[in-house]
Amino acid sequence: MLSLLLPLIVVLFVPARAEAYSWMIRHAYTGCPVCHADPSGGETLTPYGRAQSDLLLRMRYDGKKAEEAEPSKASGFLWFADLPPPVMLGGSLRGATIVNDAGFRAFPMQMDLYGQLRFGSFFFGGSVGAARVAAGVVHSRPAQLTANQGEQFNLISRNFYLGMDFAEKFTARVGRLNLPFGVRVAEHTLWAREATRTDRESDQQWGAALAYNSEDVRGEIMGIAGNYQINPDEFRERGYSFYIELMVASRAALGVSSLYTLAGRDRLTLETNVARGAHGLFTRIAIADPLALLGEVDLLTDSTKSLGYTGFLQGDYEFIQGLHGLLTLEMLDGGQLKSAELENVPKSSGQGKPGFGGWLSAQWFFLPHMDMRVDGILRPEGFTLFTQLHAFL
Amino acid sequence: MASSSRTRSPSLAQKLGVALALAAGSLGVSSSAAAFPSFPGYIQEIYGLTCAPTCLLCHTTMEGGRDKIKGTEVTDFVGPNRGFGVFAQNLILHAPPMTISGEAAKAPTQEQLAAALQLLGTELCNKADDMTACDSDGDGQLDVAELQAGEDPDDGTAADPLCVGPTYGCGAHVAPAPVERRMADPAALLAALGVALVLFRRRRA
Repeated sequence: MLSLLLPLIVVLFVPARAEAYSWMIRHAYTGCPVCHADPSGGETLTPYGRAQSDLLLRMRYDGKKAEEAEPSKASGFLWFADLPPPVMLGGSLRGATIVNDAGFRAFPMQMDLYGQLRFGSFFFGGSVGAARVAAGVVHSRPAQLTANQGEQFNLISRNFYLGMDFAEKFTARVGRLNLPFGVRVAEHTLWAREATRTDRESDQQWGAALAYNSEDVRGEIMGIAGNYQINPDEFRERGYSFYIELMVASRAALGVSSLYTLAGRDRLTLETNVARGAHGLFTRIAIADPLALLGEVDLLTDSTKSLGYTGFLQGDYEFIQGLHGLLTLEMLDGGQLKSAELENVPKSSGQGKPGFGGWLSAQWFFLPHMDMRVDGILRPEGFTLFTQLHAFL
Repeated sequence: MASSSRTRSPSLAQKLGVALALAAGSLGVSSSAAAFPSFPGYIQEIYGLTCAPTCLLCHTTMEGGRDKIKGTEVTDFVGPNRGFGVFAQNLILHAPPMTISGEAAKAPTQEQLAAALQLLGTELCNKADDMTACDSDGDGQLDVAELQAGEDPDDGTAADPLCVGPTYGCGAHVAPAPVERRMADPAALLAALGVALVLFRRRRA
């Protein structure tokens, strides 16, 4: 009964959001806070962000160009609802299928609600959602609020924070926050996001962050206090993460990122006394109107492993408004565990030896608040066909 | 009746349609790169463990995967070592064909895994002069006995509990919590929030 009631409540309750699309630089959107509540992009949209999502993101069927059109009535929260200015609400419902050598699986990938309430310069916000993963899966778990460790549903919260804007260009926040690092992409399983543990799926950390956004420079630095949704304390990473990005041309940006954390025990390798770091460069470039390039390369340091590296290059070509073709090339050598090296365990792809992968993708923003995506992913472990249907309310 | 902004929200039929689609989709479980993501849960069930072992029991990464199975060859050895895959290789070596090896067309069932683990307790495994049932880490305790005791059969050190991984959620811990300390069921929490929202919207209307 509850398994049927839960989605009904989610539908009644869950508002909408859009992904952060770093390739919006093709429309000369170099910074993020004009469209997003998060000063570095992602999750809750501002009213302006909703309007631009309708004008620039989705496929148009009225024959008008974006600059000639007005945002449709369906661009608001829950398609047609108006919200008072201090209130921003959003959410995502995402269903997915995977076909690989393990067979076919269909599953609810995301069921999240987002929101932010503002009182002058002060604001608070966050997200709540539901997730259900197999016992051995590493995703979703770090964002759990409830404590089911098996295949049961769990309540999750990826973000929650208090914050204030000051001096026009600064935003300070404290809470559980997306880590400021690298290119903020939608593909949370890209090696660059997984190996640096900086995705927006569940790699958020508790801490305090200061962001700066101007026309030519943006950046954010965060002091990481640990993830208190992981127990015991030895598994909590503490340190810093930051990025700085400069506009080197009107539609080209170059940035540098750095992250360093200490933990008594690593939650993924179970090694002890771990000092982990990631340091690198990233770029966003609009080559021409339809083509945007995103790229990132990072050195990976880990006191329990040999030196590693990861990176990706993604081209996004918009054939017509709302229809994108993407080609992503990625690489990873996460380094080999020193303890494995002592035991003469042979190096393998991604662990002491480089691994290479490629994604061929298509994404179609076919209606207001709705998109679908297909990815063909080729990696050393084999081929995966991945499809998604996404609705933000 | 005069129209209002509230009448422009998605219809009840649209909402119910999405809800039914979600209900159908909610029967699925998120997948990972692991060839058999259900194995940790199976092992927990088979041996009544307080946790699901991490994929590092048999794989070189927490994500698992067919190409990340620990691959230390089973060779002649005497004395304790850290395993590094002898357990995984023994399991594959002694399991019935086309089951645990990952070459089967379908993912093995819990019963198939249980049968394969059972064989580790009966097959002559260690290539030492004194042949015994499988003791993959050479610490003098059979693999099956270690699993039943919640210990890592691939780790020959003195402290080798299986339940060393993190637990997730606010106030989470390995042992089942007393009833009064358990967090509310997430479905019940969302149900309460949903009812509150409906009541709030009716009151405003």
